[in-house]
Amino acid sequence: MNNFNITFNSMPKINITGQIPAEYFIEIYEYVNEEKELITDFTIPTNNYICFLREWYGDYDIHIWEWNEKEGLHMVASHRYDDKNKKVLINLDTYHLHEALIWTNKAIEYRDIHGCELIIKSSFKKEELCVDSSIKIITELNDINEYYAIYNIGKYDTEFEWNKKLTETVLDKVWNKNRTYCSYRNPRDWHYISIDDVAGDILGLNEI
Amino acid sequence: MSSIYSFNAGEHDKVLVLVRDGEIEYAVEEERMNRIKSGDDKEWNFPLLAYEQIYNKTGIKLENADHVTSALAQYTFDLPIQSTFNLKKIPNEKYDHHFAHAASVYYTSGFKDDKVLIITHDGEGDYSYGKVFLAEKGVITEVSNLPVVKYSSAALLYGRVTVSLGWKINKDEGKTVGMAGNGSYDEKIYKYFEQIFHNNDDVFLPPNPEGKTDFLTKHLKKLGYYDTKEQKANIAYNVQLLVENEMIKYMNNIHNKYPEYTKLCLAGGLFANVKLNQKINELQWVDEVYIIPPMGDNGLALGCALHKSFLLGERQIKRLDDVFLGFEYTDEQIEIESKNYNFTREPYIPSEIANELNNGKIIGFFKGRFEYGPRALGARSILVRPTDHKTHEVLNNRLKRDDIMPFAPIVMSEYANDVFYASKSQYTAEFMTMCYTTKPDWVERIPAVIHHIDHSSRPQIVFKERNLHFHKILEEYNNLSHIPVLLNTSFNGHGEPIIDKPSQAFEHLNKGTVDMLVMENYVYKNKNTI
Repeated sequence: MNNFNITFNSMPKINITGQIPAEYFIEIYEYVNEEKELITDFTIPTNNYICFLREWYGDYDIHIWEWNEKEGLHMVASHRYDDKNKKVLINLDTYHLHEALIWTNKAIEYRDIHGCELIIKSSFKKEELCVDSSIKIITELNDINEYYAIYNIGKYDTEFEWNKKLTETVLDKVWNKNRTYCSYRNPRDWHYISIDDVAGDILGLNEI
Repeated sequence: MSSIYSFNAGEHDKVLVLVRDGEIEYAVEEERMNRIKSGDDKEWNFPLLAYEQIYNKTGIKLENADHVTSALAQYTFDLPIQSTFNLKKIPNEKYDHHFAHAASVYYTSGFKDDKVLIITHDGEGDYSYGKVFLAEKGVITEVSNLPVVKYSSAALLYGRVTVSLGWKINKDEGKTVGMAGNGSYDEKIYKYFEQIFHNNDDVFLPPNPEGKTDFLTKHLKKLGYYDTKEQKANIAYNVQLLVENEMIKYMNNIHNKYPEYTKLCLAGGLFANVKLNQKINELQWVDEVYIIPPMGDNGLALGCALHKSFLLGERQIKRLDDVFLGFEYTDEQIEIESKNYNFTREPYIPSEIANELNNGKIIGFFKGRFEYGPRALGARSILVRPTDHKTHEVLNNRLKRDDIMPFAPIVMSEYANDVFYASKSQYTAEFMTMCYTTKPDWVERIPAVIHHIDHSSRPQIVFKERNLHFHKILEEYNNLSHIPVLLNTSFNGHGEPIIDKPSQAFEHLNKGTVDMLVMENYVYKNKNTI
């Protein structure tokens, strides 16, 4: 049996490793208002990985299928996003203290809803962010594999060529099914929303 | 009294419709004008060439129309036309994709006093694979929906299988239907596809027909399930069977919820599948089925315009007399174009042409306004006698086509029920959207127009009062042969849309595709081949 490793370090990543040569059909669904909706699909062989290029929170349900002559199409693995009691890193991608403070509050709101173990990465110190001792603050990220999920909170500009290009490609091909988004990092254009909503959007605390 | 322009500017099936005072004045597909088959034209554009001609003939500018409608609810309405027209000052009205399909079929059904069940189904429109509507006294009410993010689509499954067989989606599904007739049941193949598409009450599951079909067919190909013609036919057969079975379950489930609705209207690309339509028509509870002749996205603009017209109190729920809604050419215009060729011209006498048909000649018919929708129904048709087994091969060679689907017949309405089991839904069969089984006595008499295995056929039932010239030639041919049936295929070569202009017909005569041409009141023959 091959290994199916699913993580949410910035974005959903499905890594399939093992000795058995095979091809896998991966479907990414998301629960929206308790209704399961298909977002996208990929096909990859063993010892490959794919990432779904969307950096904000999603209540994902990931299905991995295989096909053989005997069983036809059958599911070999699935994973529903569940970060309860798991380590979640929220990276406050800002050098402005007022933004870091607002986003810290949103991170705590996320923790309270999800019941996860919150770790905040920030260039500001614990005292500056005014958080209690239960929240760990780090300034450097050493091993991403120790986290179930990682979120980057920031105001990401689609003016940068690489960002714009990626966004256009992804928007056209993946996210155009049901609704459109600003970019793969900020679902809504941060120029037109509050600082508070920038984090709320990325952490899935807002209705978009 | 209002003028309504309505258009489809989508990736395929671009069309412009003009409805004036409740009547359909023009309905023109852009492919007839730009000569690019709809399925090959992937650009989003306003059907400008169709518009220019309609404007020239009517003097109605888009800007001056009372209303402009379109079925692009989820897209920016003005996108395709903003740069061309200044429409900001006039009311632009857009309707949901599947509602537009529903309106197109309902307002042309003639079911004005009935409770009508409308089912739409296609490969996706406004994020839905299909909807169910109830209609009564002009009011259309949506009762169920198949959002693309949750459910599956028979049309998309069929389209992707068509691609896996080496053809094009939105264009060649008819070839898969034709190929299916040559295949046979294979439990394994059937079950593979059933895993990825099945009915569950009033929805289809599992989601993602496109991805799952591509994944499945890729593996089947690897394992040799597509290696031979026979194997490909088996794939087509089993997918056709599955789609028929699951759609019938779906129809029956819907019927159980609304048992008093026994008149059925169908629209959307799936219902170009005439074999499926036959199965639906054979359901006991169905009193009558009507499929809109432009059943694909080429019907959307019509639906929008007719709905608007109905709301304005100008359109009634009534049947189409015909779909001759394109452009026509006078004898003089035709004569001028013929001067470029070495042709003879003589008056058209139906009895003489019937005699030529009886002698095996292949004859092009170019009469009146060209058709709206995918079928040639007498305005731009090729007629051949239906009595030869080899006609399929001969015609494919002449037209340089690779049609797998059997050619279709036209039959005099007086004899339709003698030749085919065609007692039900004859109105829809005026537009060649329904298959019937041929009666045993006729199987050997008209082999060129029936499927050699299941004896099904897709007749155009021709009524004298609505298609006089086609009826006349049938009548004359029947007098000679005692066969009230002729073969009718669309007048076009391989890969091209059905012809529009006289010059296109003349080119076919010049190349020898047809032996002679009936063009309005004259017959043209090529001097070089007489």
